[in-house]
Amino acid sequence: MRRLQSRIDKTSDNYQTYRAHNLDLLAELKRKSEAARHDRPARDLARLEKQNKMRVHERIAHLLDPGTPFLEFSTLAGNMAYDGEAPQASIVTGLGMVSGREVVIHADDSSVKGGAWYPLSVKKIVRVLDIAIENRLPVVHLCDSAGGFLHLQSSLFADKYFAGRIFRNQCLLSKMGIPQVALVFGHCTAGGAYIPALSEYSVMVRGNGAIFLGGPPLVKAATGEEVSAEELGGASVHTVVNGVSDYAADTELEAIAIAREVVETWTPAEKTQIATQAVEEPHYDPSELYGIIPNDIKVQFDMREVIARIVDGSRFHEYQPEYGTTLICGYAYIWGYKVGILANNGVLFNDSSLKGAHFVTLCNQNKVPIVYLQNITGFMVGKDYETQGITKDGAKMIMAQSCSEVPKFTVIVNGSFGAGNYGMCGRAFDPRFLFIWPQGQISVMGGEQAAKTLTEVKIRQLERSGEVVSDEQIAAIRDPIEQEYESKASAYYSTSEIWDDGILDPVDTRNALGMAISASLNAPIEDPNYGVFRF
Amino acid sequence: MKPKFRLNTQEHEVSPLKRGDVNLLEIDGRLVSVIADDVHKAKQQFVIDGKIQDVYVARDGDDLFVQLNGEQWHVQAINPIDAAGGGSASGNILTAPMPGVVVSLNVAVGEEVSEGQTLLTIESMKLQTAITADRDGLIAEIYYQEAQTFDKGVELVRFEVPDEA
Repeated sequence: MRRLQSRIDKTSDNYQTYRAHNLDLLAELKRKSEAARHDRPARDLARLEKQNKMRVHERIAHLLDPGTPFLEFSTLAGNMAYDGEAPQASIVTGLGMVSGREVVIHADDSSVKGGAWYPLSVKKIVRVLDIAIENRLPVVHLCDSAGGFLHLQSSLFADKYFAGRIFRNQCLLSKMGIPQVALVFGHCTAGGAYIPALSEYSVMVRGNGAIFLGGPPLVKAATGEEVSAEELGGASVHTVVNGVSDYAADTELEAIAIAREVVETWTPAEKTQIATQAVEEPHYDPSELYGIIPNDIKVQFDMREVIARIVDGSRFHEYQPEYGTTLICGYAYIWGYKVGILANNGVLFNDSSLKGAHFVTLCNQNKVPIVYLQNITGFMVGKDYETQGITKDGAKMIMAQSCSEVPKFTVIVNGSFGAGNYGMCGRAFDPRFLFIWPQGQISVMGGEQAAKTLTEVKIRQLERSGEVVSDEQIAAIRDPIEQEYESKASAYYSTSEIWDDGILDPVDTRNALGMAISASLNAPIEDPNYGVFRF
Repeated sequence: MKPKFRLNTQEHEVSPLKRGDVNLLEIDGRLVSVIADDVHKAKQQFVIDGKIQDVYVARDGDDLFVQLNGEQWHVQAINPIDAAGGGSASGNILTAPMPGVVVSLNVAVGEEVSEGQTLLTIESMKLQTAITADRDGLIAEIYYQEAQTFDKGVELVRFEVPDEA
């Protein structure tokens, strides 16, 4: 396979300007991520220490096989919610290796409000269990939660994708033969009690760990009975008397060691075979990506330059290189796994949409996983394109993409606007994993256009009622809309709401995709099968 | 299609005819038998046409540096598509990939440009795209000025045809 030829001039002013800009964005991402993981009030940390509890990231570090990577999901979930009260949405999730098995981890963080679940905490747990189901990955639960955050219970309890979904997903995993182990480090109260109960295996820490439907205060209120947490639902009851749980440990470290041995007993999954070849590092240095992504989202760049810094050997077989050129399609290898890549190099036209639909069916026919690299302002508008039926060509692309049986992976490199987000496998289309770069933006239309449209409507309303609208008034209408729009289109908002699985340092994209592809192959790939294409 | 390799400056056709304990290669029409234990080791012994030879191999990307009988060889695989003339620009006219407006002109008629150089920047659907030279050449004509709009597929820039100059 031929190597892509980079045309980047590293001495150019643009390269240097872009690089400085993107390194600033990266520094902000790193600062926010570190703070979300580690910054907690001294009072909460002192409480954990008094309870002999490790911090959540420390527990995960002990659980993982040494020297293996951990792909943390949605590090900045909740960063723009609840006035910043729930860093990481109080939950840590990710993909890693335990006793040589690929597993996903769900871990409560009791340094935040005793590990109480906020609505976004629930969303984050449901998401990681969806990942487990879609990719058939075993789960390790690190339980330490006070239960649902009662002030917000109406936003986390009853609806289809709220807390009940956690337990429903656990049951489905069990039915599919995908094992789970729960470590009970703290209280698992009410709904939370079902996490260890619905896991095939559970380990409790004596003294700290407890499982009950109602904790001591609730019992006292309900029946007047006075009982300690240990008597009510501690390890001495559940691992000796009633079999609610399986193993007891004296320390958190012992519990983790037992869980690692439990995972070791699981039969390793037989992976789906796809085309592979020996791994080759990219020929072009991935850190050059910082000098490639422009500092203005409106400025177009050649997505081949991005591909060249993600794929093995910077080698790419481009399909239909001279047709539908605003969508680049082709084959490459990532960490030795063959993939098909669809990458935006401009607006989607009729020809680029047809090319995309066609290429997706090719990948499905040959069982080649698909990577979408998004930088899309949308489908082309205008009389010529409507006359040519751009809508039905876009529909074909969406149909092929939605019905794909091969695993799909999406990276929002820059813009993700309008129906372009759909054609290019946005969140609603179940990519196995979706990541976004720090400058990424998602919205139904660009912020500037949206503000213009909404301002126009408002001005006409005022003019109809006979008012003369001044420039200041217009700005007073437009600016808040634009600001609101820009903030809610940002990568930080997307990741706060868990519309993605995390903001990536562009340089980490290759590794993240490698781990994601490897994980996805725990599930089989079915034969291609589609709905009706509108021709 | 017979694979081609460049040895220092000389090109050779090398076809692997048989793989196994003894490999059979056809090099420029001549048959050569080679026994090699592990081609990925830096130092190894080859048995070439029955003669034992010490071989040292170093790899740098696609380039292989081989020492054999005290002689140094720089070995490069020649890509058959490139060798057949692939990759070079076909026409002398650059057309508009989409309808839009010219945001800026970076070159003038009569200017010498090199491949990859930005000739003009256009804007369409809120996206600015640089139109770059697909080869080295002399600009013969520019059809649109700044702030002018154009349709998809129209000619934007024409290069001087070499025999025209």
